[in-house]
Amino acid sequence: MQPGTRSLTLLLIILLLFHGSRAIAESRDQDESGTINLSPLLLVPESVFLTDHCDEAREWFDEGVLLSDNSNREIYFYQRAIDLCPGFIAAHNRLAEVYKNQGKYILSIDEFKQARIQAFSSDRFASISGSKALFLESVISLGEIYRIQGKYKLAAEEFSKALQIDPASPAAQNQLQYVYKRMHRYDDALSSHNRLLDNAIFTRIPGMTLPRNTFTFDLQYRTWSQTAPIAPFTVESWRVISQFIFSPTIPDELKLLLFTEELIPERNADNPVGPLDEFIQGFLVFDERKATVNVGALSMRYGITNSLTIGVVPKFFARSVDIEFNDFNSINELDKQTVYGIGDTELFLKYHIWSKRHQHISIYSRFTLPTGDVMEVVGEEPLITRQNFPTGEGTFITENWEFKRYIPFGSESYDITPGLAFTLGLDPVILLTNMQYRFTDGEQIGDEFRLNCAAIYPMNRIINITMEMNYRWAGNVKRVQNITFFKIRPSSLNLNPGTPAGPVNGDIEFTELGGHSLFLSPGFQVNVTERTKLEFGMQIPVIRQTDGWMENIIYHLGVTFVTF
Amino acid sequence: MMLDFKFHVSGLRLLFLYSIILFLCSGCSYSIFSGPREKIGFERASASGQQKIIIADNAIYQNNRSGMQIRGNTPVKVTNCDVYQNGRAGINAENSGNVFIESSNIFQNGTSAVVGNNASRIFVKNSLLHQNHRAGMRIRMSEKPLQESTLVSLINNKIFLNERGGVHAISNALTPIRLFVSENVIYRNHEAGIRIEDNVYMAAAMNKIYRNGTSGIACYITNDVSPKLDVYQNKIYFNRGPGIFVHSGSTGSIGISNNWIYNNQLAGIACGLWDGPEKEKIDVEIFHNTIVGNGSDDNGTGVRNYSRGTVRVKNNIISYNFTSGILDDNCRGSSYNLLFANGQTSSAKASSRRQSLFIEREQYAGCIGKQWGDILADPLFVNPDQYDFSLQDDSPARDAATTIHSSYFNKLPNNNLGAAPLLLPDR
Repeated sequence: MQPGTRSLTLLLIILLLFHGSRAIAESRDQDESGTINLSPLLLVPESVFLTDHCDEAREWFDEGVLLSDNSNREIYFYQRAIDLCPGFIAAHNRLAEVYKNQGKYILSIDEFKQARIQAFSSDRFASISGSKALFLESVISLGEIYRIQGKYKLAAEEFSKALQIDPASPAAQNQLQYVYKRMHRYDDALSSHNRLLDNAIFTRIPGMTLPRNTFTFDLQYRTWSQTAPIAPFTVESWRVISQFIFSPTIPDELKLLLFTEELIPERNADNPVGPLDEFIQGFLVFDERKATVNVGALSMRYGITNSLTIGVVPKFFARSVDIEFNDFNSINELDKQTVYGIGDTELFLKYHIWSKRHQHISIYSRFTLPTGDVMEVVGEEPLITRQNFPTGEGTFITENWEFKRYIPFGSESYDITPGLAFTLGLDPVILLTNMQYRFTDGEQIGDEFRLNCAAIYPMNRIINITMEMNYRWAGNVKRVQNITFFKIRPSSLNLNPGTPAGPVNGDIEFTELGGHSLFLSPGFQVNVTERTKLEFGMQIPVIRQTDGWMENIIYHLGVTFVTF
Repeated sequence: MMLDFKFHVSGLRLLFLYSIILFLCSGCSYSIFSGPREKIGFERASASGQQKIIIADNAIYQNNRSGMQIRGNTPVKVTNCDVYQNGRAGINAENSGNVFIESSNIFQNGTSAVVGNNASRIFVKNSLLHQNHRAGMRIRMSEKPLQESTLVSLINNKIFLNERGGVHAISNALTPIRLFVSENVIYRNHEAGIRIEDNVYMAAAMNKIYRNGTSGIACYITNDVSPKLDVYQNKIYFNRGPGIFVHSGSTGSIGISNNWIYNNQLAGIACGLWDGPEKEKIDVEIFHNTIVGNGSDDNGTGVRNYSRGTVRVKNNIISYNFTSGILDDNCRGSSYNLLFANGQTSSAKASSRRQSLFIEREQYAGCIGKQWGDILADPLFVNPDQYDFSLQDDSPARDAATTIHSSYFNKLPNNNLGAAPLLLPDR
């Protein structure tokens, strides 16, 4: 038997089987049992059949498309096309579509399933424009038939299957949401990736509040180094805490040379600046100060109602501090000390006052609880010697002495920070802004005004890029600094002028000046899951205040989790 | 005087036909283009308005340029012809061309099946316009037309599988295109089923417009004159964009009324989707439509209004839409609508208030909530699974409509919310 004849015979057998199976299926269509049996021959690979008839099959198919009237004649054209080229997926789909439009759902299901099998067996399946698209069409159409039959569960399975292959398939999404709603599964109705109105990295308070019974957990870590420039401080007062007690080896006459308490006049109304104050102030010119700060904050927020959100934000600090004295550079051998501790805790209350589509305005207030510790740093530094004292001569004391530093991790006061937040969702960009003013008692931490603006642009469903501008005005701060300075022998003793008499440890109150700062803050966010987001950003100072502490680049790393 | 050519022509007979036409037209004060050899064309040489040319039962195919090119206002009737695989348009009517096309099959041409450039009148009836490389029908009015307007009627045609839109009409001139589209089936075109731009008035009735690549019907403005449209008694479904998209423009005396608009993959009806001054130029009335199950992904509102113009939404049934039922900044023009199962909200809830989501999954998005006369209840369709949105006898949408005072609704009063099924074409 010639190959062509053999193939023709095979084709005739398949035709008979096809028509036979259709007749069976058609009869089943009457009782809508919904069960069909696929002929095993349909699983035969495409290559078995005559492929040189596929061109002719295309002509039959085109004739059917030309007709497009859901008639039996149109069916005939597609059947002829399939007979000639069984792997002709589009013909299967069109034939099934016509059956569907004629209400012959069982036959239609049969054809769609055949289209699926042929699509799977095609080596072009990976191409979305080829077999994959046709496969999708068959799956979605099959789901639609189940929908028409009221078999929602089966329909949902088919549409879900289509979305597994192509998550962006609008037709599958459209049909699936309808089916879910018919099943009263409203929570599943919309695709899961409907994104939140995102929050910015540094402009953290948005205009909207959380939906009722919703939690967000927000873990942030920030690190930066900060410096304070060389600056004299206006000493408000100082109080001697302890004087150094020389060792017994020190000659008695030196002890006599110590300043006594009465030589240090108290500041009062009559004597606002005593002569010794001026003298002391000369020694209180700090050199450039440096610190490295690490902050961890865990924010927990909860939507009590749709318009009211509460939250609590405890903070943890790790701070390394180095303080130098301007006139004692030659003896500055302080080790950098790192301390850890709890900072102030914030309570958070926000109320949503207005919204219009993606525009939201809320008012909020942060309450600061002074849970921050004052950390004591203990260390040793060399005692003054004649050799290394700037104005002294010779060596007469050579030993170390213990010193203490006190580093505050909080404001040590109850502060309130009211603010206003606004969010505008301009698909796809989200704009956020908020402003707040912190009222303080002006000690340790001064008043502060912040204005933050942010724009968030989603590059895709996973990555958002953010750009922010953060303005800050800081008020003057009254600080207390525990420092040590060194007494000088009074000239009335007619000893070598400038000869050190020993250290005195005391609390100095002084005013640190505030100023204006502006940061430019780029960053990006990664949506790890629908509810979990990682973020990384940095604040780059573009305008720096000239007095007081000023941060260098601040690095931020955070993770946010939302519960719905 | 009437010239009546009747030939059964195919293949080599074309040359014979050409010779006959050349002979007859020469003797009847008509001249023939001296263009490409394969071309058949007519140009009016006399000013007589009484003459008419009839081209019937021809197959005109595989010409380098258009199958037919018709100029001048002498009426040309093309009936029962196959016009296909020509290098440009199947039939090109220009410069006041006046053509009546009936029962013809015009397909696989290099540009559109029928092109009208400054034509005075084009009438297409009972024809198939399909698989052309651009729109099925493209009508254009340029800046200096010879006539006052272009009148285009499309009745009972099938316009499908064209590589651009189904019908595209654009007028950059102050003289309008008047486009009447009735009882057609417009489907599976790669772009919009019907797209009108600028100075075009369109009335579309009793059509089935489905599975087109973008919108079912789209309405744009690119210059100063807004398009105008009346869309009524149509079924518009399964399109890949909105069912009806009014970027800018206004509705006429009927508005967008009595349509079934369902399962389109973006909004059912979208107005003013983008930013720009065009947003102001919207004045649309949306009455008595049944808008069901539209949307996908992040989009999919029953009626979506991003414009700052006027959009009045009354007596509609809006249900099962993807993200929300009505999306409007204030819903000022909305009332007496029935909403159900839009977004993630079930029957009686107006809103889920998931305000921290970018997409509002609620019946009303942007509005405060239920508007005057609105009903939040299951409309009780006869068989929505099979796309039958007729109302059951005990539907809450029955007798719930407010009266619309217009000549159209005076003739076709409807006490029920949604579209009157009897007015619609069969599925």
